[in-house]
Amino acid sequence: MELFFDSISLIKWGLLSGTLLGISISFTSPFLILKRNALFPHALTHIYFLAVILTSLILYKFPLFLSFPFVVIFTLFFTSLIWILKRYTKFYEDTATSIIAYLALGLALIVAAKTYQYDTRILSYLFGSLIGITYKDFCESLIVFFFTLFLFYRFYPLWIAQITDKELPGLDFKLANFSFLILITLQIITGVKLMGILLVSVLFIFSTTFVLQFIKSFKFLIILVSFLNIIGILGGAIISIFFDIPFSGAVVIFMSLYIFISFVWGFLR
Amino acid sequence: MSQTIIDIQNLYFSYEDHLILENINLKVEKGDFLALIGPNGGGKTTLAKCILGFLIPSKGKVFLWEEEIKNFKNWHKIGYVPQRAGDLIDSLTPLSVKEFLLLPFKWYKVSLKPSLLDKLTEKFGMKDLLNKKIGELSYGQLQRSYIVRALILDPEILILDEPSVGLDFFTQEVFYETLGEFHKKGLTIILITHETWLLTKWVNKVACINQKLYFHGDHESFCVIAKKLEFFPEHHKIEHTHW
Repeated sequence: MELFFDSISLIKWGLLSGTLLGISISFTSPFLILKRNALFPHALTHIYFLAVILTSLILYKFPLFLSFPFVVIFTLFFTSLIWILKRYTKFYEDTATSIIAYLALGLALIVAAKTYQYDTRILSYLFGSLIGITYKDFCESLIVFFFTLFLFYRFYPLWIAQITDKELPGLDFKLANFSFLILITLQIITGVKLMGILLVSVLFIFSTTFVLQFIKSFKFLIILVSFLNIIGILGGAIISIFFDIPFSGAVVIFMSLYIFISFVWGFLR
Repeated sequence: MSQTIIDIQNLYFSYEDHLILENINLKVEKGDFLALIGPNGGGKTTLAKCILGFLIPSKGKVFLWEEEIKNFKNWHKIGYVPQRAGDLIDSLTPLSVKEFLLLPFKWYKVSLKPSLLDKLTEKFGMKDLLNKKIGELSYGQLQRSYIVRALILDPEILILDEPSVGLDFFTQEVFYETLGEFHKKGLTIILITHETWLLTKWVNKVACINQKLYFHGDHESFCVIAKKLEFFPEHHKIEHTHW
């Protein structure tokens, strides 16, 4: 037990950061799923990976804090290629998303290999690390959390509008959608350190999908998803410590319980 | 003197070199119940979308309450029910019927008149459904929800794009009768429809569109000249026996 509490003190920033992230994501994930765009965060992580590799290539001599805005700008730039591709071809949005995501991942691997960045750091980007989360990362999560609350308060009527209507007179969705994209990007960037590129999108999908099966009101949806995300992160941390397995994998295993319950629920109904 | 609510002047709309609307001039007066009719692909929905600001005309202007559409701000005065309105709703949509009906207040920042919600839900037979999940409603109930939602801000004009598609005959009758009652109370209505049998019963104006505006006037005059119009393909010929 002593070992357990020692471990907790080692991962306190990770747990706090994960808790804030779990709450932040619950404000955006329902809209992604209801707009049939559940793969988008996963694609964004691939694009983010390219942005990280390019940023470290350009800014390797500069202080670390300078890299954050560059990563955001690169990610937004490459993400905008999805809409450019969709606009000038007749691809479906998910097809364009897949194309840009694979392109980004392919490019990232080539650039990483050719610039000697293909080392163990790549593994920590791919799968995240609970112990690696510092006070600075916690502060970033806190900023993203407050930013999420602000943008949600400002734009949620327009985000909701798009789950029930394609067009509404007098409403302009451009700014609302752009804000949503920025928010998802920031949540991914803060989440990647914890969960890794390959698994961070789990936080967007599992709890929300589970809650959507039975919830009747939007008000309680966010509260429940937040709660289940936090439980998932804490549960994953406990499993990770007790069984000495990677944190992000443990979170996925824990949260897959929600999907199993959904399955049983659907089967019995 | 009647007030012009919508004034469309020399409107053209093209999509990828394909001319969809050509030189449309149309005025909608307060108190009109206008049926916008025409064949599939004739441009009825496109015209409605130009009126609602979803599409920008290639040429020409649209005025709403004498204000050019790009400067128009009072969108809460327009209720709109699109074609296949409930397509995006399914069993996962996490909204109760009540939450769904009250959404326009969040969009247009207008304060709620609680009595109107009661009146409308009673009128459209939705009072007992308010706490149900929106995705659990039948097609007809969902269609009625969209209409109640369009009326919840007490608009001055209601634009409906084929609202009764998929409804059974009885539900259609009740639905149009209710619309007729709202019209009598002063609501201006634009109805895009193929159901020409409706024209005699409820509407007082007709506009026929097939790229161009072929006719705009009261429905009695339309009956008289309908035979002379040749813009309907053979299978769309109006059954004049109903008139």
